[in-house]
Amino acid sequence: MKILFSPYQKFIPIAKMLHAQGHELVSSHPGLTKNFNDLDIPSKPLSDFIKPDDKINALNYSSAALGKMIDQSYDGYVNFSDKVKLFMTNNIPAFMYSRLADLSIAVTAINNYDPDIILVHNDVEPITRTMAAWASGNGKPCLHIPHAVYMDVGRGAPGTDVHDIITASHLACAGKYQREWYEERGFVPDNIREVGIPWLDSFARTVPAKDNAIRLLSLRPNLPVITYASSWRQDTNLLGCHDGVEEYYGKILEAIQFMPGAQLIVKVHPHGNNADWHMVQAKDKGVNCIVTATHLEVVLQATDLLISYGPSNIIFEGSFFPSVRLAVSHGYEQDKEIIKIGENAASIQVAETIKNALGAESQNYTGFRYKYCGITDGKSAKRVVEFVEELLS
Amino acid sequence: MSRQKVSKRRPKKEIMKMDINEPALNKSMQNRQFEHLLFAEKWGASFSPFLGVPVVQCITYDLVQVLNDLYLQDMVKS
Repeated sequence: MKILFSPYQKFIPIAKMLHAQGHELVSSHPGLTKNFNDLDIPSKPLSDFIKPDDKINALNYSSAALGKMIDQSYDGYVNFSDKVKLFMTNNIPAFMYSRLADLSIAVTAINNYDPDIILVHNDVEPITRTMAAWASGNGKPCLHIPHAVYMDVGRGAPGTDVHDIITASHLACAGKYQREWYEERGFVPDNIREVGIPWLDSFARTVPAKDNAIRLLSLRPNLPVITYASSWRQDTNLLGCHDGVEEYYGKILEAIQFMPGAQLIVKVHPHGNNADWHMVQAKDKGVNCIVTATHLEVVLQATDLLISYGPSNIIFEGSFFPSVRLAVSHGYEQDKEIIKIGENAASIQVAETIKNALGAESQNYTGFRYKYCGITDGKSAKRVVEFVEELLS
Repeated sequence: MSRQKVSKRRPKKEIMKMDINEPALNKSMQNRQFEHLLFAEKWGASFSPFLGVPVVQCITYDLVQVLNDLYLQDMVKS
């Protein structure tokens, strides 16, 4: 059977199993195709299915839609702010130009490939939503395997955030919490399967080796290691659309200066593209630290206290390592195992909370992890594959 | 999921955030983001689909980010 993947590198273990069962794999991004092929998982890029005539048809459609945008851009936003109105009046065709052409061409390629099932890591970004929409329009299943545990962080009622839009037909969710989150947003309960989180399978199998991790990172074994997991600004929701990421990082850098001897690792998001900025800020404040977007498993094994800016998947990943204490700037309000530092705390208060946390015993995070991640037995990818086989049968 | 760079011009948190837990502001921001989302969805759906796929509507995710950001810039300006 023919399976199309959205561009998400963590699909690799699932792809490997699906290939072993005889399926044909195509990726919507050539980078992922290369990843697959490098690991002896034969696959083709979706671009192989673009035919010259189809490309012209797609560009014709795109041009026609762009031509209508000025005329259709006035309705429905009369009460919007000045810059929004100006953008929709003057800039929307330019904004849509490359996006619309790319997506239209992708639609022709998907149509030509005609997959039996589509696997996506989200169904809201333009390319993944397009893939899910094609499946929906062609009576094919689209399985959404969420790349993150979406959480209620007080950013509006269900249906008011762009992540609440559901286009995929089926969901391989982590556990009960995520199932309820999606059911509240209208996902058909019978189309949801609780599988755990495939991306955590490797953590379930990791045997912590703190001394080795400390040595690999050239840290000192007798001094505490604090890892700060920073983030990046997301404008998809107004209530998250502010400078919190930058300001809180500044507080962490100031707080660490109240703690002589503390060793700081700044773990930036692998796709945040802001490691350089974090390095510059640390240098400006005279803080010696490691800034890295990679080596997550090693960093977590070396860590005594993990702090994340807001709720993050890294907190779940950190929960696999018994000696790590978990803290957040904000979020997880109902979860008493997680230390809350406070988003509005002053640097000195942040430093005090860090000192207290380092002086306390690490918590048992098994219940916390189960709540959000479901079963973490290292076999989630296998359960996803079983679900795919069911949908294909 | 978004890939914003930190060098991007952005509103001051002191103005924009204003403690989003404050109920009136929180509600106002929720309503505004919802209006942007509804608009983007409805506007996108008003275009003809391509091979059955509502392509313009599929760009809602990118569009609402811009609308939210522009709205906040207007708030800062005022």
